[in-house]
Amino acid sequence: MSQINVQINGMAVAVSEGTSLLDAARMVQVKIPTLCKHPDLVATGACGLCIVRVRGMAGFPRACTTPVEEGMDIYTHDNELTEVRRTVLELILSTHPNSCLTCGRNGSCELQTLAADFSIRESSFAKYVPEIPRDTSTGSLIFDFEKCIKCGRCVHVCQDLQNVWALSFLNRGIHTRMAPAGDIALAESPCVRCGQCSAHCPTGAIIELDETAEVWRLLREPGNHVVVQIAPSVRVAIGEEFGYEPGTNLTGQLYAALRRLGFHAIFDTNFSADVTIMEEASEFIERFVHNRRELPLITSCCPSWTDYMEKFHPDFIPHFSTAKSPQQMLGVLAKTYYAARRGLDPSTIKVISIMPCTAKKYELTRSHEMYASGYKDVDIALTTRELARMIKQAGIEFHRLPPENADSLLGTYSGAGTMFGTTGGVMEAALRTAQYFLTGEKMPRLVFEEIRGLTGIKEAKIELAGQEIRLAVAHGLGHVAEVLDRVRETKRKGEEPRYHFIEVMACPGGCIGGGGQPYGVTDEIRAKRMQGIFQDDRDKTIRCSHDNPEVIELYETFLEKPLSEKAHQLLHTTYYARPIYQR
Amino acid sequence: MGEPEPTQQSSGSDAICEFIGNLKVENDNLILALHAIENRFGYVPRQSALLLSKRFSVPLARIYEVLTFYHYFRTTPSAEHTLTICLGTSCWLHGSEKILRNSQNLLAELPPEERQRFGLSEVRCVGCCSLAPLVFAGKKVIGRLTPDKMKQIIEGLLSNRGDIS
Amino acid sequence: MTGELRVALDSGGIAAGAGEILEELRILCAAYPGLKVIAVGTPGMCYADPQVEVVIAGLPQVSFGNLTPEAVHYIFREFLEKKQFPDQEFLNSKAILIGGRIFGQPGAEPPQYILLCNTQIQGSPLPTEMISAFAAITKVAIADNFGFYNQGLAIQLFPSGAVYANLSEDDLLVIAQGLSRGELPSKKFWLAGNGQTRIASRNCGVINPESLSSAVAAGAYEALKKALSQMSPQQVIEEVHQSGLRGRGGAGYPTGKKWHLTALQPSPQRYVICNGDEGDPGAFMDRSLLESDPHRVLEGLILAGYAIGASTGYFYIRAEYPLAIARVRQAVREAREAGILGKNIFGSNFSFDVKIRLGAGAYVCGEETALIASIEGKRGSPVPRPPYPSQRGLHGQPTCINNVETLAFIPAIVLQGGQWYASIGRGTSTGTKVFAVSGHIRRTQLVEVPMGTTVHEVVFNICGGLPPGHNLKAVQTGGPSGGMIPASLLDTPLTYEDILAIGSIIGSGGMVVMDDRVNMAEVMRFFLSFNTDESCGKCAPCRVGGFQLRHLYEELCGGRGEQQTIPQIERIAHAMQAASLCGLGKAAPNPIFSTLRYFREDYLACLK
Ligand SMILES: Cc1cc2nc3c(=O)[nH]c(=O)nc-3n(C[C@H](O)[C@H](O)[C@H](O)COP(=O)(O)O)c2cc1C
Ligand code: SF4
Ligand code: SF4
Ligand code: SF4
Ligand code: SF4
Ligand code: SF4
Ligand code: SF4
Ligand code: SF4
Ligand code: FES
Ligand code: FES
Ligand code: FES
Repeated sequence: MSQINVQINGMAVAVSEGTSLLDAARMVQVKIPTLCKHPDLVATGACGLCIVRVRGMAGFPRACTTPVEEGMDIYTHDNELTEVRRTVLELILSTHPNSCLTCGRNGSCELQTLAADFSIRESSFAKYVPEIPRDTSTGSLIFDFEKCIKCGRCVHVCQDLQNVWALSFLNRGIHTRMAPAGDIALAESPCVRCGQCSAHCPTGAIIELDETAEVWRLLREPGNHVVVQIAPSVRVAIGEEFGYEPGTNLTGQLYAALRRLGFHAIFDTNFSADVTIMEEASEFIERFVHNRRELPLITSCCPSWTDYMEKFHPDFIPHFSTAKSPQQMLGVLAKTYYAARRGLDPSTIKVISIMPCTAKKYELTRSHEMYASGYKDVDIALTTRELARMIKQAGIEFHRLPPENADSLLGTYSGAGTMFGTTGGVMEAALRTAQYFLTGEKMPRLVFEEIRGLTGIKEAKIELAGQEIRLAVAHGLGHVAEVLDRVRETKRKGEEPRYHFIEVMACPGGCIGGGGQPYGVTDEIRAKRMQGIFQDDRDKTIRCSHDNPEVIELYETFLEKPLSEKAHQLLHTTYYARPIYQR
Repeated sequence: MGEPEPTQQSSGSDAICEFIGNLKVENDNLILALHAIENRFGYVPRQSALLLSKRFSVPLARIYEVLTFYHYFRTTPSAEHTLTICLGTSCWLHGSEKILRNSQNLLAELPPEERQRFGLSEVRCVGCCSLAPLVFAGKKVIGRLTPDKMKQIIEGLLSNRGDIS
Repeated sequence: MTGELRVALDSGGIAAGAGEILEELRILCAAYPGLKVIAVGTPGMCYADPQVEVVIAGLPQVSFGNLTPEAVHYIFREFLEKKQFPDQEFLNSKAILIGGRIFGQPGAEPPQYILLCNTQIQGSPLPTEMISAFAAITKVAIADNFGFYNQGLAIQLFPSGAVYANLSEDDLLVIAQGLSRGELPSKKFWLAGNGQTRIASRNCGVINPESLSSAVAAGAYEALKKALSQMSPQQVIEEVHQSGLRGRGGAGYPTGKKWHLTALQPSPQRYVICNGDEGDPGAFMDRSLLESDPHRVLEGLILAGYAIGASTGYFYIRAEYPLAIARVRQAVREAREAGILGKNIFGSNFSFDVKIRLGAGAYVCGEETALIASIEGKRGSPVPRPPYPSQRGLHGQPTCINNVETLAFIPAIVLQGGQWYASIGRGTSTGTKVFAVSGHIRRTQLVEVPMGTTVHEVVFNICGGLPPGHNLKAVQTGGPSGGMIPASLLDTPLTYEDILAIGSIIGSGGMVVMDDRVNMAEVMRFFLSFNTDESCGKCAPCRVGGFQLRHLYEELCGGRGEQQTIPQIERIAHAMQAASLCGLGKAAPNPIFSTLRYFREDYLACLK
């Protein structure tokens, strides 16, 4: 691509064709204020804050939507621009409640930050904040429509990145408002609770349901044995809440923090991820060796994805791995295996999970199988952000904590387990174990570079025991339909399966880009978090699920073998076609 | 797709299914389809939005974002008598805003069951400015309106007299 | 009796009762097989609806307006059957008589019918002795108007149709004496036209818009034949280029250039769209053209398609214009049946067809990118440019969007040449422009004048100025995002540059006259209610800025304005103009600046 030369505030810079003025400015360390543009999304030009002046051009082009042209002479900041920006900001604020103190985004809000930066000291304009009731229907996300500034990010995320179409704008002009499809409750809409809308929202209009108070209550309540698990991707992201570089692996510090918060046993979802692999890899072998018709096998550890599939692609139900997600496996094992081994009354055990994810809150009750222990297998799922707040509330100086270890029985993990946190990771982990199951080789191939990275759809062919296995990895629900259509195509033609194994994660990047992770994610940050995961894998001496000693112990003493009857009863689930619209 | 005749409202699901089943599916035809439904039922029932969503393979969210954007479409049934007053510049200069306000007051004074029979709305110029100010009573245009004339129209409709000119 | 009676059956006419008039005339004419009653579109004289133009051999070609069924009976009996003018008493109270639209050459033969008219706006009735002087010669009547004003006393002689104007009472008496001796009036008083030049609206009110043969008889599709048989697409573009035609939809972008840019784009698929969304309140040019001569617009669209290499065209017409929609549908149907649309038009290797799409009550859909979104079945929200529609438009393909009126000029340009068109008008504003004049005006009507004609000429000399009792305060052009032309600047020529220089725009051609009772802050409050209603809501400066401006004007007009209200208005208006995404928000503040510039005292009068 050809290079375009422009001047920004008198500084020459050469950028590639198609670069926006906004990105060009960043290259010379100039930050133009933005409110609607998000690096993940195509610019829509909704806020008007990023206007700039280009010599020889009439009016004020938007930096986010305008591509560079050869010889442009761009000015990003002057009195008039600042004055217009301040006025626009004040206009936006005139339709916004002043309720920062009780807002879920207090301290992390893009609107609040701009208001601070622009020295907004008074409300010059009449206040107009129509009352719209909040939507709390999903139990995962809280929509506080009054705080919505109509930037459109959530709508574009939900429609374009996720292809769910739960959200849209209704009405027009000053009456424009964002609402779930056709103005129904979010829980009645196609929403799959991925929380990508909340991760992209610049304000407190979409936040996760905060359940920290309930966790504090359980911790305080006498007689409870409160255990906690942390999901793979949390360890490489939570640091951002405490000023660490994205991708810093803080597993040990997290264990320590959780212990100080008062949890009675510290477990790791990575352990149950290893269990998931044992089950899923066995399923794969089963289908690959015996029943090729149900290929491809499709991963199912992401609840948004299973929800999406049940609503939009129910014809793929037979292809789904019936293995529960690691979160649910750990819950059920805590209340059965762990309870039995430790002699605890399962009714006193409370399982809290720390997840990158808002859909995990919904998964806890998604079907009766989530009560396989006889109790609610996982009691509460918190997001990374909620945990960070608990740590701050508890006065724990996170960055000074010495690392500690997890507790035994459900706390040891392999490199494969940690890989669940990133797109392609489940697949890579499963392949390690599938090879072993198929060939019995002790040192299988570990790394599958071709399914790593942030490309939306990744494909690979590998050799396994002399046979070709065709793989596909998709992340971001918007990429799913294309993969499934390819499969349908081969099915329709009665050909060999196009793929044998498909991994899908609902969020861009997988769980490292989850809807409950620290705000401000971009592909750059996703890549760093991903590297943190890969590093964790490399740092492990045990890198395959089947080598995890606690997993071996679990099967030897409790489950017998993968896909045993007991394993089926506790660790597997079923899927049903569901209506897209509940109303 | 033909221009469906406005008929009396019957929004039973059978009628809706049959009607939507007959609409031609074309990728850039959604708004025409909504026009057809609006003309047929006097509004776009939720039921038909759902059916349209299936038939046109368009997400319901898209249908509603379109439906609520355009003032021509409604999501609730229209009243028995619709009065649409023009608030274009010429009509406004000739006092249509006052007539609108008068009419609002007039209707507000009616007992609720009578008031509900009227739907009062606005349009922004229909290009017949020589008749300013004007009102649409249903599909009939009545020009050179005065507050008195408007009062007569409303009273005429109330007593179900057809002669509204 | 042979000839035709043309009843103006456009939507304005219908609303005024022209349907009944048509029925009545059909019944009356049943006895005369040579007499046809045809429904035509608008002759432009909206104020006279319902109206009929009499085109009958042996009778003067005049129009009667403000008709009722009873009046029709009387006119039929007196004028058509008895061949005499209706009684003057009748003409003063029951209907109006309008002088012939066709101004003839001074003929040689003595007149059989004579019309008199006082064209002075403030003129008094013609003295009775004057009328009797002519009555002694032949049949005479006083016409309500001759289609022009402020040119003294005037007289029209039939059958020639020649008009003599700028006469004094003495001149008129001299003419009467001359006529009685068989001498025609002095040529120095002869008037060739009424200030209008009809190109786009040439056939409006003349042909039956629901009949292809009627249009073809009036020359429709001659240009298309010529282009397809003798001209390359590049030549068509070149001709349009030379005509200097600029888009009539508002922006005034050179049409030839737009076509050239679209044709340049490498793409197998291109589209042309006729923008018939006409949303400016007080504008009815496009409605009139579509209702009165749809084939001309269709021909323009096909020519545009040929020029840029498109095989599909669209009409996008606002739903508020059901008659225009019906007539365009009919025109398309007939054209398709006649092979004017479809494969290998006129045996050429050019194939083209059109689709019709409707608006649904959203002014912003007149904006090009919003219009495209609307055709694609989406919300009519504009999207940022670039890419421009000419690069990536409908369905992602290069798309050329033209206004109805712009397209209506194309056939004449192709047929008569770009040079010819460019010879009309003034400077870079070539050709003619159709204006819809309404508001506090004596004659609400459609006019087509060469660009460069002054505002005063249009308002006073063509439309008769204001009704008695009040003076002109301002003429608003360009719709709610245009500006105000104060009385002191009425001599400004109607060119893109001149009107821009005084803080307004030509816009699409709406011209609303306001008298001195109007407070400009009130007008702005009204305009802002329009703009906030019509804002798509996508971008904050327009969505909230318009809303807050409306609020401030409500405060102002409600007597609650404070010292800082005006500076606040200016501050928001500036931000809205600078930071809005599309033309609607960018231009909405225009009339604010314009009214503050010329009518600040109206604002101050509102402060508490
Ligand atoms: C808010 C807005 C409304 C518009 N409405 C119309 C309209 O109703 N009709 C029209 O022809 N152009 C309208 N325009 C202008 C069109 O966007 C476009 O410039 C025009 O159709 C191009 O055709 P032309 O080059 O022949 O003028 C509008 C523009 C804006 C910004
Ligand atoms: S969304 Fe931001 S600005 Fe609004 S109340 Fe919350 S923190 Fe404050
Ligand atoms: S920021 Fe201001 S309003 Fe908010 S808590 Fe502090 S002092 Fe109070
Ligand atoms: S959670 Fe996901 S599916 Fe639900 S509204 Fe947000 S983006 Fe859409
Ligand atoms: S909810 Fe948030 S992301 Fe969505 S439009 Fe409102 S402010 Fe933007
Ligand atoms: S991979 Fe994602 S869904 Fe699976 S356990 Fe880890 S965090 Fe949860
Ligand atoms: S990808 Fe991970 S974070 Fe996202 S929805 Fe699935 S499980 Fe949750
Ligand atoms: S300026 Fe107004 S109409 Fe245009 S995009 Fe912005 S909100 Fe929509
Ligand atoms: S960031 Fe460019 S318009 Fe909002
Ligand atoms: S302003 Fe009412 S019809 Fe034009
Ligand atoms: S002539 Fe009828 S509205 Fe213009």
